[in-house]
Amino acid sequence: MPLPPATTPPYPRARWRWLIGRGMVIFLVLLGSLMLIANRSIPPAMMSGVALDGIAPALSVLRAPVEWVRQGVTEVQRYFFVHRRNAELEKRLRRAQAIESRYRTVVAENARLKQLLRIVEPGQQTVGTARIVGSTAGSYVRSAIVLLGAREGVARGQPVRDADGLVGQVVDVGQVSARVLLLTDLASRVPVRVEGTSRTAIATGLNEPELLLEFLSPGRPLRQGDRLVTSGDGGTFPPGIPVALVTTPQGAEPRARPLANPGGLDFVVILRPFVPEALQPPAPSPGLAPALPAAPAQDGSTAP
Amino acid sequence: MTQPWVLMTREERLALLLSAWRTAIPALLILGSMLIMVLPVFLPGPTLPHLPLLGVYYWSTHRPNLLPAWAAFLIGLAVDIVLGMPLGLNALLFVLVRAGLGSQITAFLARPYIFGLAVAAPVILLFQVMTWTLLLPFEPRIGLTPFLVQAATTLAAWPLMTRLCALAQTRLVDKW
Repeated sequence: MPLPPATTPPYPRARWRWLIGRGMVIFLVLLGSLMLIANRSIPPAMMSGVALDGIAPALSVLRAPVEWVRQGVTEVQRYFFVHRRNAELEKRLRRAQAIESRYRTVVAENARLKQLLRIVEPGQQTVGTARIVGSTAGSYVRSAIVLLGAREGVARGQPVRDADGLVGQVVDVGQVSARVLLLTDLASRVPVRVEGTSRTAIATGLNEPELLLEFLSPGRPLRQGDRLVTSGDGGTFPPGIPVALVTTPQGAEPRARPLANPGGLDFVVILRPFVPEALQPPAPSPGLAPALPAAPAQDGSTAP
Repeated sequence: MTQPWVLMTREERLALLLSAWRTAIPALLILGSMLIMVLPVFLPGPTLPHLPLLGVYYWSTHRPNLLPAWAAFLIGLAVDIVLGMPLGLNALLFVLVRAGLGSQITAFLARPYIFGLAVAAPVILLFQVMTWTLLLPFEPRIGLTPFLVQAATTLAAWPLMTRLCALAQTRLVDKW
């Protein structure tokens, strides 16, 4: 039995609808491809900033249940491991007291020597303290979203640290929020020094829990547990910030584990670059190739 | 609703406006799953499932009229911006997933649950391999393994996401 004419759209209309639908898909595929091609040369920094500002307030609300769960788990762990933890902390406290007394002597001596040699060293200047409200931990990007933006003086390239060590570097800035490229991201490069030696290297992210140590300068062989700190090369990261502990010292590709605990990241401190000029774009000089950036490349077109 | 707007009573107009938001539920659900992906849950590796892809998969195979290609494109753009991916990557792939699956909706009618899972596996794998391929010009050192791991976790999250979407469909969308 044929359907009543009112319920069946006339053939030309259905054909047009089909054609428009197909045309729309082809148009969108072309548009998406063009955007991808254009993306390589024009990093959509402004768009990212606006989007960050848009989602940051929602994330700060959504993170509350996550925070409750985390706090709950921590409380349960504390309850069960309280005795063992107490003994451990007492042992660490005794060791720390001995170190502190030596540290005070060394700091005083260091200050006297610097005064004698008239060494002027810029200190770590902070932009502000920010709460982490989001993270992206996919197969390509390792970044965090913090609730502090251009309004408070945050700018691209500024280093970010927490109490344990270096966290990463600001790559996108909105008015009230910013995106931080984590050390473990594939695009992250941090100049480091092996603490207590003059060996330098570049700590490279692999999108894995550990960092790869590249361009290691010659010197004393690496040992497991060696601490890596920022070397200050390039002028972006202030020297002396703890970065990672060496886990695999042997072989052609030594690895290190970041000290900043990603699971416990709540608040971070955004710092000003060690040398503010490090983030200034180089002046164009005709006839010369553009100078390599002193700091690790943080091109928005390839990262995060 | 066949009655013209001018002939409706005030109550009918209000009822129509209130029920119209239900058509936005698929898009809202996918955008919500995108926000879950950026919650501060730091995982050791690339183990986070691609939840928006699962949303696009579900609505393309169940109610493609509620997720037109342009909506899939816009959602993809939002995912690109929020996740910090190259702009256009997820937008392009979501349109392809939506167009490919939406045109085969009759194949999904009255099929067992396992059929959806069996089709989802190659679709997710292909999506991740295509993502990797499209990202190679941006970062030539990028490896395929993290994408395969994410494909596996995405497939593992498929039953849960399907259940959530089905719940939203039966309780909210189809009730209208």
